[in-house]
Amino acid sequence: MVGNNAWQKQVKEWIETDYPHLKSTGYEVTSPDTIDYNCVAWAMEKTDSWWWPNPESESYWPPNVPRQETLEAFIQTFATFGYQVCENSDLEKDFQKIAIYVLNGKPTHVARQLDRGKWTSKLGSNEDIIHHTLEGLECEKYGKVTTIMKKINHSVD
Amino acid sequence: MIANKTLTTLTSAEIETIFQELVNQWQEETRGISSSTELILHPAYQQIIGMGEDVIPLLLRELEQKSGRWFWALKSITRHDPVPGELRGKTQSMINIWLDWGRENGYQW
Repeated sequence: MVGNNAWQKQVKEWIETDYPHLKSTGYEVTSPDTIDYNCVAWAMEKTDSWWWPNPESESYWPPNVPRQETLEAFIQTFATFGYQVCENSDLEKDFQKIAIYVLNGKPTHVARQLDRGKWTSKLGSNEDIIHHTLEGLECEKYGKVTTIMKKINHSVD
Repeated sequence: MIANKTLTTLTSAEIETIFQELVNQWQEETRGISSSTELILHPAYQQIIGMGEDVIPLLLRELEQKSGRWFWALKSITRHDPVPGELRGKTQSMINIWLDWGRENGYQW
């Protein structure tokens, strides 16, 4: 846990309001808030950039991938980094997995699996958390996980 | 009553008050959102853009304090984009470029 008691209380309050499943499924806050990066960048282990395919181009998006807020464009982006769609979110030795949350057909959030099977997420421009399950972040804001992708060469967390 | 005034009749202090209320509303209502589109289309963000040139120094101050991604608002109001294509999304670089642009154009915050 980071920060002082007052900060922790404030952060936990908003997190448990916006993501009501987290309290029962388990989580911990692992960084202060920052606008430097967002969930997609964090899933790709980048902390200096904000990734999103908005056509206004104020965010980073890999060249040659359509700047469209579609699941297909997200899958294509992660495929350029070696990820392939897979069947489940189970921890697999020597594989790194990511999960894409979708609401009303549009991607809203991406989480990355850690060594021991828990997940890490950057919550927009707010804090990073470790969450014990993918269901913990399913909510009105993010929708549900629809796609899991994996790549070889699990990084050290 | 601020609510009964038009933008052109507001004092600097009143503009700042309205601006700060909109910033707070935007931060509160976009918690956890990664979609740049959703962030900039939020009504409070759009109202800030609608306040026009008066809020350029306030936006530069907010950017310096890293309270939010105010790049699109600055670009919309100034009709200028000093960030080169290869630095799109590189947050700290974008901030530095916009703050340099502000100083070069005589803004103080």
